Amino acid sequence: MNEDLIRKNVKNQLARDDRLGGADIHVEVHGDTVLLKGVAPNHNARLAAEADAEAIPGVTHVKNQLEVVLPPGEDHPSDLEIENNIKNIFRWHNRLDGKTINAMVEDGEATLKGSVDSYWKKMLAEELAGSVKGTVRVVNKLAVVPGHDAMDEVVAGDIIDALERNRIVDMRSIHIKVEAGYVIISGAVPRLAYAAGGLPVRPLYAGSRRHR
Amino acid sequence: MKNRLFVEEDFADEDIKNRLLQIVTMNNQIDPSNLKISVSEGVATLEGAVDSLWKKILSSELAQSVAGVRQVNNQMKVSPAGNQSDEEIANNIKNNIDKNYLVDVDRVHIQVNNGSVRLSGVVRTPLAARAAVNSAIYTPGVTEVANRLRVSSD
Repeated sequence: MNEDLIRKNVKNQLARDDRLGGADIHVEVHGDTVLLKGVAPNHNARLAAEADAEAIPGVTHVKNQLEVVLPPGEDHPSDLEIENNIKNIFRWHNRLDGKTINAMVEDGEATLKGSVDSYWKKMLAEELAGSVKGTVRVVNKLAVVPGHDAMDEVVAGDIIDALERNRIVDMRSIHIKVEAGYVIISGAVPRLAYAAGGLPVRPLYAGSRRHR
Repeated sequence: MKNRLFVEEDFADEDIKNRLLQIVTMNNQIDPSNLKISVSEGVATLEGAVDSLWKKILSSELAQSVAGVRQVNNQMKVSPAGNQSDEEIANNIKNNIDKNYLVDVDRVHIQVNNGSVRLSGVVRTPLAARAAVNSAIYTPGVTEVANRLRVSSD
């Protein structure tokens, strides 16, 4: 597919999406990869732009480098207000257990910690946190603990804490699931050496690794 | 020993209403100033105006997700901010659908009347129908979408 054509199609698609609210988005195309740069008014608009680009024929990868910059001239909530709002959303939600999810907000960046019992809840929590006024980014460190087993939750928490102490690994690209003492760590790390040394567990094989 | 027993919450309409109000107020995509919410025996009624259909749908979704809400009755009006002509809207939807590889745009009929969209014709899968409807929902100027698409694999 022609890069210019893909670029034109992505631009058109973005222009016709009401959710983006006239965001200033710069589109680059390299082969079949689309690079989105510029500014989005909120977290969900940022994700909508990514989905729009993904829907264009010929596109296989989208690199979303859009930054969320809150619209100027408006009163923005403080970090504490954002944090309380996110916690309330979780607490009042009929499909999430707010007691197992913790949210912290710093400079508009919301970090979610704790555990949920399924992957879709992890994604739902991220979406909800991103929909709160003032949130510019969501760092999703939720672990998935299917049985809500207390011991599994402790194990998941310990692994996440250990990974956090290790600054080499970007938690945003790592997914942790614990079930009956069985740990699955998946996601991407920059180098194999980090995969081996960076984690508090001994690897069996590279890629997605399992530990008892 | 830890006592983890808890008393099941009794949701009072007034509490639910306050939660709904807070939820829409804290949302970064909805302007709550023209929105009226009332709750009676767990049924939430939303009234007022928004500038796009997807915001109306989002309001319903937000209300549905709040614990204690049994049903949502959405009577919000959609009054678009721009003034897109029906022809413009139809063209934009057509182009959006055309980009989607799931839907064969030549088999879909798009009618627009005062922002109200009617999609008919044939698509191959339920997913394709959903994609076509979504294309319409996110197009500026659309106030309503009636899905009359038929799903057929031939």
